[in-house]
Amino acid sequence: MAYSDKVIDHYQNPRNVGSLDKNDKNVGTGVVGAPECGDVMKLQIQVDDDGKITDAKFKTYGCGSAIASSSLATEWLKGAMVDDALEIKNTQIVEELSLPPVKIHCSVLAEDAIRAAIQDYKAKSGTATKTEAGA
Amino acid sequence: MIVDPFARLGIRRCMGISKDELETRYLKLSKTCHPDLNRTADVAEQARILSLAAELNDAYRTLKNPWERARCLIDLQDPQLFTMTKKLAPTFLMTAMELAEDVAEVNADRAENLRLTCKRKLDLYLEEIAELLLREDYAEAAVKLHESKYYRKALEDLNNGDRRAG
Repeated sequence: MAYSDKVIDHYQNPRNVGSLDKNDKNVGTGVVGAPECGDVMKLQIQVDDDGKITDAKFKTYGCGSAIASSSLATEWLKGAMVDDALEIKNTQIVEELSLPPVKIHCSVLAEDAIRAAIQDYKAKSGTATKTEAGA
Repeated sequence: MIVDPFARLGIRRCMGISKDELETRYLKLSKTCHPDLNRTADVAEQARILSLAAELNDAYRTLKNPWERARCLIDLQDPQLFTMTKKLAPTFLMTAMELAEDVAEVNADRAENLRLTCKRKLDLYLEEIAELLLREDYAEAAVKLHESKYYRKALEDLNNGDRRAG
């Protein structure tokens, strides 16, 4: 299977690798996993008082597509408003990275990580509306 | 439709199978479908025998490996369950993250220690999974099987010395 140039680029030069202080109340942390491949992905956002995401970091142990998906996600998150970030869909990641069908689950993982990070941020900062059922 | 490897080999469906019994049943049944013994059979019959031999090999391979044996018991109970249980608790995933970090950053001195820790952890998982299956708690057994995958992967990576962090 051939990876697209964009996947290779993110894999070789991952953006925003690292960690934010998970105890900071302005930081939301999402950790998700794909046990069938033994992949684990951590995605964190730093949000300012206006609800704007000022920083995003990730750490992923997994295949090239999982790394690229989370790397791309952090690029899109930076500068976005929290509520707009919730609109990011895995299909957009699939399209941007030209992921083949067998790697779509990697983009789903990244979307799950975004949602988990936002949910964690909202729960901590007390801006949570209502937790989604089953989330 | 999955072939039940326990039925294929005529072994009682459970986690605690006897290795000797598995071996004996496999060898005995394999003899009956060896191509050399069936050279006079017609083409259709030979094809049937060949696919039977393949099924026996698959069944043996599945049952010999305790993780696959557990997976098989879960699938036979409910083919959807394994997929439905793959969303693991965030606290566990944090542990999985730390484990992956440890593996990625381990130096030669500590590698053996970490390998032992993983092995010990996997022994515990196997015991726990066997117990859960015995109690017919298939959903929890599936969760534990998913969790164990991270330790199996860690062990694999330690043995290959290859893990990449993004």
